[in-house]
Amino acid sequence: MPRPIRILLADDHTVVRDGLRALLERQPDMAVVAEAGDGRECLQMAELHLPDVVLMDVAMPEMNGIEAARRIIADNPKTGVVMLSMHQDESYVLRSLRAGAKGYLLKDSPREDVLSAVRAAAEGRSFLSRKISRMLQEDYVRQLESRGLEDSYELLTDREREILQLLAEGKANKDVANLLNISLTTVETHRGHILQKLSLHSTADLILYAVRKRIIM
Amino acid sequence: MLDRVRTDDNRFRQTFVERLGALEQIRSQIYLSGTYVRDYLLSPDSALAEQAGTQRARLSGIEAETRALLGRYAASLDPDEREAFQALRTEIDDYWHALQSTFDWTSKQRDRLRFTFFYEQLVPRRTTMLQIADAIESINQRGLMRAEDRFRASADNLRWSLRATFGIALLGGVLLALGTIALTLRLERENERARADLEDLSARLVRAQEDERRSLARELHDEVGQSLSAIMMEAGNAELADTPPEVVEHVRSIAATAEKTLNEVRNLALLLRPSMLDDFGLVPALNWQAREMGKRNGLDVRLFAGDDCDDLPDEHKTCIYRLVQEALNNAARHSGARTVQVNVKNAGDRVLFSVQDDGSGFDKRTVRGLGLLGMEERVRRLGGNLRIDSAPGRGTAISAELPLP
Repeated sequence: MPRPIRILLADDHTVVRDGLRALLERQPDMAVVAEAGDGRECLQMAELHLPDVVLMDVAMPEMNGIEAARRIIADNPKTGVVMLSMHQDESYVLRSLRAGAKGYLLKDSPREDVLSAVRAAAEGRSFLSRKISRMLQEDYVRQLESRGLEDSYELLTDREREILQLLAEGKANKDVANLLNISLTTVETHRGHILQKLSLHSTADLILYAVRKRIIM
Repeated sequence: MLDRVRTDDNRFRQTFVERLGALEQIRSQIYLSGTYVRDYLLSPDSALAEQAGTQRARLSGIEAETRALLGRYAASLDPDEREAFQALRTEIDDYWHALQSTFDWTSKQRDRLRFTFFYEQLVPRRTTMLQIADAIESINQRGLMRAEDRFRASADNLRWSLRATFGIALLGGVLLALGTIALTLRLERENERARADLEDLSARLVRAQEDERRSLARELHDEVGQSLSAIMMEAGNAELADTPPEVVEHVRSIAATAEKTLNEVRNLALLLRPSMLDDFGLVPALNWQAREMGKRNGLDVRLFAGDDCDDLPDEHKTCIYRLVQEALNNAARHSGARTVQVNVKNAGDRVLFSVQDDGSGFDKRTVRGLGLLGMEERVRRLGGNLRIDSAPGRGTAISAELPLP
C-alpha cells in the first residue's frame, strides 16, 4: 500500500475542522498530520510537517488563506494547496489560483469533491468545486451571448488546444514537453501564443478559461 | 424747535419795534404839545379867548393819545425800564398840568409869565421827558441786545443740540448697523455650524451604516455560513456510517435545508456588502455587482477599470461602489436599459468614475429621488462633485470625481 496523502487542515472553525478530519481519516489513502486555527499557525505547521496537501479556509484570522497559500507554495512548490471557501465569487477563485492553489472548494461541496480535490492536489492536478465551474461557465456563456463576442477559442490551433488542456489540468511545462515529445522551448512558445490569443496573463487565468470553456472538468 | 426759536425772535423784534414806535409817538406828541403851547403863548391877545378853547381841545386830544400810548406801553413793560417809565409818566403828568394851567391865564398873566414859563417850565420839562424817553429807548435797546444774545445763545444751543442729536443718531445708527451685522454674522455662523453638524452627523450615520453592514455581512457569512457548512458536513458524515435508511432520509433533508439556508445567507451577506470590497478592493466587487445584475436583471454591464483602482481608501471605494450600485439599480428598475457602461479611472490625485446607460432617461427638472440626493451627499462629503446628465430618450450618465488624499 502506498504512503497515504499527508494533510494539513487549517480552519478557524473547529466544527468545520472536526467534520473534515472525520471525513478524511476515514479514507485509507489519507492522513491528517496537523491542524491550524489561523493563517500564521498554518504557515508554521506547513514548515514543520511538510504536508503533501494543505486544505485550508480562505477567510482566517491573522493571515488570510490566500496569503498563506502564496507563502506555503513559495517555500515548498510541491505542496498542493486546496482552498476551502464560503465564497463563490470568481475573484476569490482567481486570486486563490494566482496564489498557486491547485483546488478551490466550496464549503458546502459534496464529500466526494473534497476527496477528489485532495487527491488531485496530491498529484499536482487542479480541481474546482462543480458549483464553481458551473458558475464560471454560465457567466462566460452569458457574456458571449450578451455581447455577441467571437469565441476566441476558434483562434487556437489543434496543438495549442491540446497544450492548453494539459496546462489547465495542472501539468508543468516540462511534463507537457515529455508527454507530447516536444522541446521545453516549444511548449513555452505555444503557451505564450495561447495566452496572447485568449488575452490571458497567467496560468491561473488559463485554468479559469479552461473551466469556463469546459475544457477541463 | 428751530421754528419756535425763529418765532420767538420775530415776536421779540416786533414787540421792540412797536415800543420804539410808541416811544417815538410819545416823543412827537410831547414836541407837538410844546409847539401848540408855544404858538398859543406867542399868539396875539385879540384871539386869546378863542385860541384858548381850540388849544385846550387840541392838547386834550394829544394828552388822551399820549396816555393811551403810555397805557399800551405799560402793558408790555420790561422790569428794567419800570423805574424810568414811572418817571416819564410822572413827568408827563406834571407837564400836562403845567400846560393846562397856561390856558387859565389872563392876558396880563400871559404877558408876564409866558417867556418865563416857556424857558423855565416847558423847555426843561420837555428836555427831561425826552431824556427819559431816550433812556427808556436805550434800556429797550439793551433789552433787545440781551434778547438777541439770548437768541444767539439759544440758537447756538439749538445748533449744538442739533449737532449732538445728529451725532447721537449717527452713532446710534452705526451701532445699530454694527449690531445687526454682528447678529447676522453670528446667525450665519450658527447656521453654518448647524449645517456642518448636520453634514457631520449624516456622514457619521452613513459610516455607521456601512460599518454595521460590513460586520453584519461578515457575521452572516463567516459565522452563520460556517456553522451551516459544518451542519452539512456532519450530515454527510452521518450518512456514511451504516445508518438506517429512514435516518439517512432525515439527515439528507437536514443537509438540503442547511444548503438552502447557506445560499440565502451568502446572498444576503453579499447584498449587504460584498466581501470582495474589503478582501480585494473595488474592481472585484464591481465585477461581482456587474455579474449579479446580469444574472438577476439581464442587464449587460460592461466594466472598464484598471487594477490601480483596487487600492483606494476605504471611504472612496465604498462611495464609488454604492454609487455604481445605486445607478445600476436605477437603470434596471426605472429606465429599461439593456446595457450599462461603468468606467473607473485612477488619475493619481483623484479618481473618476461614470455610469452610462442606454435607458429611457428622465427629466432632471421633474425627477428627484432615485437616490440622487444620497449620491450627491456621499460625493460631496469626500470633496468631490457629481454630474447627472439625463433627458427623456437619451439615457442617463452619472459621472463623478473624487479627490484622493
